[in-house]
Amino acid sequence: MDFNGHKPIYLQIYDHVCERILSGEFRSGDRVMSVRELGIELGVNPNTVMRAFERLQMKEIIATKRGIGFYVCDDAKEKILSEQKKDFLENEVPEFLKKMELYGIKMEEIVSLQQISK
Amino acid sequence: MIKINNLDFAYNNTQVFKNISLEFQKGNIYGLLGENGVGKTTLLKIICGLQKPQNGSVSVDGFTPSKRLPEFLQNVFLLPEEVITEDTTPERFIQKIGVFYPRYDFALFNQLMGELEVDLSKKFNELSHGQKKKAWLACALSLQTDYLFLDEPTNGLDIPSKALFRQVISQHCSDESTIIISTHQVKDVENLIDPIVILDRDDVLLNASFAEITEKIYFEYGPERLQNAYYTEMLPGGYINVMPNTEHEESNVNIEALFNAVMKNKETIKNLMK
Amino acid sequence: MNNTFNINRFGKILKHDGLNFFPNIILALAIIWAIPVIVFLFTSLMPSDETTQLYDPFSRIDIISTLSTIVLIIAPARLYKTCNDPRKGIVYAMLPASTLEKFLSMVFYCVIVTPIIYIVGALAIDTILALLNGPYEGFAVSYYFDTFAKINAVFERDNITIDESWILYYKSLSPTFMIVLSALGTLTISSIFMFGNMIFKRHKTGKMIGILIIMFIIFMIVLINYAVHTEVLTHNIEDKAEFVKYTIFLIMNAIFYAEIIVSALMLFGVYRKIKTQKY
Repeated sequence: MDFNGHKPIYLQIYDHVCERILSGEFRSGDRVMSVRELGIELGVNPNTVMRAFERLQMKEIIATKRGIGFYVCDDAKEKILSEQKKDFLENEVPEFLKKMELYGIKMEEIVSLQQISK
Repeated sequence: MIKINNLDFAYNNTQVFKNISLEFQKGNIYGLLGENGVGKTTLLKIICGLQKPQNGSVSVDGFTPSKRLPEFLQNVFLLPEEVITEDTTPERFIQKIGVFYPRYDFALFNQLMGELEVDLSKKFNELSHGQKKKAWLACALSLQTDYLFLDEPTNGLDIPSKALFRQVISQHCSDESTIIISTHQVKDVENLIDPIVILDRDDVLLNASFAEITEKIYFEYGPERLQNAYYTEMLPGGYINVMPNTEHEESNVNIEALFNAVMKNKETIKNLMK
Repeated sequence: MNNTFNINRFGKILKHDGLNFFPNIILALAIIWAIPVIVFLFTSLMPSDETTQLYDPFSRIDIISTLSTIVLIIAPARLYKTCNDPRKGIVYAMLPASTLEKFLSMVFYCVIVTPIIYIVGALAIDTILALLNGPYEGFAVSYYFDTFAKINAVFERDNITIDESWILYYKSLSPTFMIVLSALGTLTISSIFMFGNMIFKRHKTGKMIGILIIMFIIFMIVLINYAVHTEVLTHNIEDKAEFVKYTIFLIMNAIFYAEIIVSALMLFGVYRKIKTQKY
């Protein structure tokens, strides 16, 4: 995994774990690798990984079970998708609309593009 | 926990530390940064009891290091910058000293030598500089002391070895252990160190975790130089501006930019982070 | 946890120093052991005629004793060379054993183990050589620990006639006293060079020998000055034998106390250095 410069590392690790859940590598009910294991894999301070895991826990994407460690919550995928959807609508769509206006693109053009790609 | 209070230290007539106070908490990998000659190595030596402060107190879990009590010594290990060349194999060396350390693990040593790709059959003085450094690192980590001090550990390591270094260090870290890495090669330990301590000539400018730093300081990556920035640097594709964090936004710490910002605004940032 | 002395930890430091022992000193010992062998070979290979010299056990004991002093002198710098090195000494300084344990282990190897190994080896080599049909007559080992046999034999060999009072005088120096004196001598020489090993970073043995020579010269100058000044030497002494005996007695006692004081000071210095050496 390559870290980029802009986002805090722990948020990047958060996204990284989400991606691995979406890709099906970690399934619902599965044990997620431990903070230690992920820290070693990424060569990152375990405290940073811990911060990412705390956020994942807060968002109820993962939870802890005594004796097992962290496991993926049942509806983790749905939660991640809905969060990403929310992020998309709140951050990317307004940016997108701004650019449409700037370039003078009409909504019909976008709709026709969508029909072609179907 | 390491507590340093009102420490004064001088070599003959050269003042190194003047009334500095500093704490290192358990369960962290500290990055000890500072320009050459500000006393990073000296600070580590004082904490290990190899040098005695003229004034002030140093306490490591309640022990005074300069007394060199076995109960203290069995919990600390210092890996010096210039690695020592022993006329023996790392394996024989670690077997010789390992018995003194309560949590020493020979299997771990072998595992680390494998992970770090060091030739087991060679003596220290037959290994290349990078290999020697890695062999010492394997020795140091296999002793599993609560306190581990690494002085410029990535000097002389090749690029793949630097990645291996980060892996084995994060592997070693536990809630009970404290690792202090002194370095001026920040890139090698980025994402590994947190908190960061920045030393200046006879002073401590910063001792803060990333969370504390990002709360007060904002790292803005953008297309322009900002006027109120502590420090601005050109990066590929734009500028990084180290700013006061007025909007309470989270950003990613760029250690090099932070270091330069601190060096340019010593008093301002020292007071900001208090 | 006892931070001053723990028998378990002492065992560990003994083992640690023991593992360093042979690799560090074996070459020096081998060279010193080889000296009598070289003399033996040299003498045997010379064309045999009337002048062929035979070496009796007592002169060989003298050689072994002299060489054992050399072994004592070089041992500390061989065994603990790096312990005060600003770089290499860090491992030793941070080794989790108490100062007392490190100190005792150092004394054990420098003062006891090294000379014993040397002497046992030297006597064994001497015995083997004596068994061969060569210039070495008799066994050094038979007389090595018998000081009086040695003295008597030397007197006999050199045809020195001794009167009753001399014999009585020697007998008055009890065997225990002689053993204590020689053990103390060993300790003194060793502790001086152990101290030199701790205070000097380089040319440890050489510098210490230099200091001893300078001190000896100063001591002799003072002594001669004193003797001339008090006209001790110019006095006509009635009973020369009595005077010599008395002087020997005085010197023996002076050496005895001087050795105790010097050893104690040197050993204390070594202990302090182990405890406070900066790196």
